[in-house]
Amino acid sequence: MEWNWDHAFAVLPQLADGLVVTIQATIVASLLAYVLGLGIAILKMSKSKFTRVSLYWVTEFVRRTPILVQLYVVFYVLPDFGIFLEAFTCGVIVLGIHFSTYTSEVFRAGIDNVPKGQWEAAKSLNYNPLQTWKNVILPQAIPPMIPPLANYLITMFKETPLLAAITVVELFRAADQYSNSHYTYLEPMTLVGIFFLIVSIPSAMLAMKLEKKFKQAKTA
Amino acid sequence: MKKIISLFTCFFIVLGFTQVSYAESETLKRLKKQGYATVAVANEPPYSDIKSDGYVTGAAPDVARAVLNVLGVPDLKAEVIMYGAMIPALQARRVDMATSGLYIKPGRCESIIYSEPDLCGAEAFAVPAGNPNNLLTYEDIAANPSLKMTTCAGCAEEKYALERGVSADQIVYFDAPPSGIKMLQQGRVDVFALSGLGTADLLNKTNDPNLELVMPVTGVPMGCAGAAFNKDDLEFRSEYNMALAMLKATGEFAAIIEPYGFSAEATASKSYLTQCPDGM
Repeated sequence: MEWNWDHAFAVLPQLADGLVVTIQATIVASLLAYVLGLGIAILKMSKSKFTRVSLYWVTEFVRRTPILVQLYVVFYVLPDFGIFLEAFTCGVIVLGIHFSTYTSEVFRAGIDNVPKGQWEAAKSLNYNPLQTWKNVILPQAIPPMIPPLANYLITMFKETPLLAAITVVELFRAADQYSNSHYTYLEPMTLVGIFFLIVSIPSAMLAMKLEKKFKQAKTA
Repeated sequence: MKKIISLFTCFFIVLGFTQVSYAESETLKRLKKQGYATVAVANEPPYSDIKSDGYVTGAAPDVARAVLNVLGVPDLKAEVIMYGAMIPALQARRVDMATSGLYIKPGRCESIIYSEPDLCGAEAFAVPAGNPNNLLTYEDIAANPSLKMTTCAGCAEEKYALERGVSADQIVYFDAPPSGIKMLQQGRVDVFALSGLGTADLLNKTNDPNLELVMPVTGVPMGCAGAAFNKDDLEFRSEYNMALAMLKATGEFAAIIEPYGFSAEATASKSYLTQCPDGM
């Protein structure tokens, strides 16, 4: 098996299209994971035991089942119950919900890290809950969350090939289709790996930098 | 003297036998020794069918099993591989053969070699009942770019579609034929394209009055499949062809494929060389 540049150049435009879909899926899914994760974290602090316990079981259920199974259920099974979503939408919803169960832990830890006195201070200023969160808690809680959230972003990016299973033509599927009709995996799959590295290594370095910056700010 | 003659006779008989086994290809020797051949199948009844207990059957593996039995290999082990990935699997020797109704096509013959044709059949579409878009040919799909079709990646139907003007954006690839039918039922796609007997079998099993079979699809050749081999297995392929010819002559071949709906007569009219002129 020898490297064939003709294949490598021929597959590039398709990979570029696939990369766009991969990045779109990553961005939409991670926004969903962040918003939902924050919501879960706040609701888990609720006074109602019912809310806390049911949320615990929902997040456990989502976290302990494979993403691939969840994708198949949303793509193939939900339409039988009248819920019909486009393949891409299915994919980002599943990824977003799945990772929201992890990001919620990051948010919870970040919120827990805000000293109790801050809550009391907000209370003494007669802030309502919205003001408390917006002006006091989140501004202190969010900066230390950024590095772990960035790491989940990179993890999600690497999980997007799973969407290929439900016909989303992202980076991996684009390469796979080329392989299937040209009988070669060497060039397409090598290039897919390189494309992923080109995006994920600088992102990981950026996340590390952010982490360092935050630590310095804390000790300063 | 008699003793000497009989000794010589024995000697020549033994020599004859060793020569026969010497003429055997390395591949056949290896398969005989391990007692089975690993074959790629696509799980597309009636071409290939994997029972829930893992037993592989269907017309193509059954023919291969009979041929290998003649050659002295008692068993088959199957791996489910998508059509497009079968050729790389053969090249990488992940499997010894592909026995799944892989059509003999000039493009594929550049990468692999085939046995003489074993299964020939027409092409089909599955569409919503009443065929609302009036799809009878691939050109009909091409004429309406808003339509989506589903088929397998790297299979003959994909090439038929692209060659006849269907754009790549219109094709949604299924992982397994039943999931393609599911997408048709759910309205994710407008038409499902596959081999005639494969499509008919799926629709039969799905038994959904909202779906309809279009067969034959006109304007495409009858697809003929054969067992596929790694390019270096020329000798093994000759051995396979000889045994296959024997089964065809005795009628055993027809007895295997006809219950699945294939016609031995249709196969007899095609030869490997007319399908793959440059494939040797």
